[in-house]
Amino acid sequence: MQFIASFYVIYAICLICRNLFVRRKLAAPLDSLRTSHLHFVPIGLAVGFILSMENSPAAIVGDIKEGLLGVILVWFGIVTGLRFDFRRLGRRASRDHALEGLQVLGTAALVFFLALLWRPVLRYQMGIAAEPALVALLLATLATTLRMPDRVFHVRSDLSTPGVENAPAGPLITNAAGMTLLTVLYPYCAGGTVLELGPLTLVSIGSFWALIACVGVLLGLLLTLIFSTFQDDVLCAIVATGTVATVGGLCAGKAIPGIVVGFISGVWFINTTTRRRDALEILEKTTGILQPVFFLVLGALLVTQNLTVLRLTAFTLLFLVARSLARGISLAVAARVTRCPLSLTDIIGSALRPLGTLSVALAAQLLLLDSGPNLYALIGAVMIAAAIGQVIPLPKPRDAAG
Amino acid sequence: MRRFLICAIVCAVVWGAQYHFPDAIQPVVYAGLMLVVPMTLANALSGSGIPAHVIPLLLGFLASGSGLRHAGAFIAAAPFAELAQAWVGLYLGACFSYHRIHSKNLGAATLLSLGATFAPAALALFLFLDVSAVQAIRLGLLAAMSGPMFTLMSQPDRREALSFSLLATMLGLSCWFVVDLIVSTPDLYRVIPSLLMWVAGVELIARITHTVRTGQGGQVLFGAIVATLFVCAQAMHISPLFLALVTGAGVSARSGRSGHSLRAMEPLAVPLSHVVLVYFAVSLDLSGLLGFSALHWKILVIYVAAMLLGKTVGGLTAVRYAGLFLRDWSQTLPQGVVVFILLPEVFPSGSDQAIGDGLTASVVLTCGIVIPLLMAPVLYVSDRMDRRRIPNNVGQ
Repeated sequence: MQFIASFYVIYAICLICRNLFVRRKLAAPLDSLRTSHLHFVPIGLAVGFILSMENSPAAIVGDIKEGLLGVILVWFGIVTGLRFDFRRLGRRASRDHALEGLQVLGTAALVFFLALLWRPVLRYQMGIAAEPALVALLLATLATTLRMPDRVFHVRSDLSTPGVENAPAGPLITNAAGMTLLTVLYPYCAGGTVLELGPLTLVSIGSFWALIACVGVLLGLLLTLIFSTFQDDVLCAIVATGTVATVGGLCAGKAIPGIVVGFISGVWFINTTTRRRDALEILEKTTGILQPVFFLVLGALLVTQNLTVLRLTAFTLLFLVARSLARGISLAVAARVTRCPLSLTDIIGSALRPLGTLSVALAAQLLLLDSGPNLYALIGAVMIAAAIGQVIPLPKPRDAAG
Repeated sequence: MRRFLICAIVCAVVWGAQYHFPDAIQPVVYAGLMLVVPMTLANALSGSGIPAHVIPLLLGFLASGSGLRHAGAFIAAAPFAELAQAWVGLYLGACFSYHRIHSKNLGAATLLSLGATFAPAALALFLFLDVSAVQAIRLGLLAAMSGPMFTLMSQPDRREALSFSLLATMLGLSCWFVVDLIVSTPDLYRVIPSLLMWVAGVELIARITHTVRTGQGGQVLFGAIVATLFVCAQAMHISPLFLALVTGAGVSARSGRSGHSLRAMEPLAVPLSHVVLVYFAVSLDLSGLLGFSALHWKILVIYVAAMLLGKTVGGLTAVRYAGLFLRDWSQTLPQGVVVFILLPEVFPSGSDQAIGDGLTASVVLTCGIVIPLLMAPVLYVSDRMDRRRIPNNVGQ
């Protein structure tokens, strides 16, 4: 009875909070958190805590959590890949692409080498025993990623979505460029992994890369086939989700980076499908459902871990500072190289852009690739960093200030 | 052709994976497979006249026989199937319309159908076969129930048929519950708090579903409610389908209109019904059919005969007095999910498990596949006659 009553309490609290949200306009920082779905993490924490009280449901849910996480990661990979629509990108000035690409490259390189330098801190202070190069690569990639769709708020203003298509240093391909880096470099940084796939034993970097590419293209082909076969939106969404579940479950089982597989399939799909607009709409709707589920699952996973607040805080602050510096420095250098005039406010604004769902997903991907209780600390820290980033107002650009 | 290609690729990937690395298969792989293949094939065969619920059942039996499942991982996929059951059950329960039953005499027709099926089945089983009274009553009740999930899949727009089917099943389930109470004599002080908790839950669901009206937020909320029902059912050791069914009916009664606040669950209800049926069909061991004794054949014959007789009497009454159509009546005949869940309760662990599975499979094969397939041409001819009659009447 207590078990069921606890769920009722959660529902009642959600109902009260929801009614309060409807009646009062939320302050911009809280609205920013709400749109990022991060408010589902505390709900997930509460649910995880209640589930841990009762043995049989906890065991059942525990069995499916990993697979579910794998599927959601593949989905986020696909959604990121959809941003690499070559026709759409061709409309933007190449100088802007170069600026953004160079910023991503610079940020990733700086954070990667910083993470390698801090290897002893990560290993002995944070207790992350995973392959150092892999951890560094994932940290570097997630440092480059941003919340998408990009929503910002300035001091004393509401949350807004800036027009990024034509603005210099506006994030259009940032996440996709970061994921491309991860896709290319993953086999090099994964360490001496030997993967046995039935009669095949994959040992070389090339074969591992070929496997990821093949699975990604296969999933992309299936998605293209599904969207060209079914005209009904709901049917398309359901069959696509089922296909992603099948492939994502296999990736999670064989420790193949599902997020990379999803990214490759997303790029393939968006550049081959004839129903681009419908597909984007359908997949976006499904993403809107999967994001809360993702944060709920992560919350439920985190609550059962023994996390130290000091560790979390230290890593969060360290990561936020390193990321902001790397983003700011690399943008300044990129602006100089591409001869794109940017003010200091633009650079600070870009440096402080918040992390998004993809960033947390990249941290969660490490959980499926490597094992170790302290990886949860990394995920928790990235989530806190994302939450902090989303409540910090950006400085007003000069034209907007006037 | 492309639909078959999608199915072939997905099946080949899963088959290859479980052949080469069965231990690495996550349960979610089967959940995806159970969603993709039946939905795609049902869509491909939608114009063929085959009832939609037959396809997942046949696919499940085929997969069970062909070995397209890794036993360990497939058992671990049970939570997904039970979540799907809870979703479908909640939606079906919410479709239960009290107004329609009162206004169209469906209640009286259903009661007649229930009595006309239950009485001959239970009496014949008790008098002619070596079956205890409780087993005979339970089998009789089981024969009287229908398959609302099948109606939802095959005729989603026929509200009268769904109401008739739902009412028969819910009345049968209520009687089953009463028999259970009498037989197992549980302490009532344990039942009353559970009932109070259920009432509180219904009130909470009714209130919270009325407040959230956005599309995606609504789906997340329904998912959360379904997940809660699932874990509650696990904690209380009852079927999530039945808990969700009565909860949905409670929410419908509380809302005052048919499934008012849960109507947005509809788009996912039919696809998830496919998952439920495939899961149950795959879980059955068909080898039990080979070890049938004379008693099992007799049970099957009496069960099917009583079901056809009782439902025909009830159906004809409903056609005459409650404005039901022949197509609606045909939807009350198939049986599946209740048989999958409740038939093993009639013959508990004392009897052979394989034979129990065989009996379940034989009832589902007869009532869920053969009878609907035989009814399909009858309904086709009836529809053609109706269409001819309408222009003639117009001409006169």
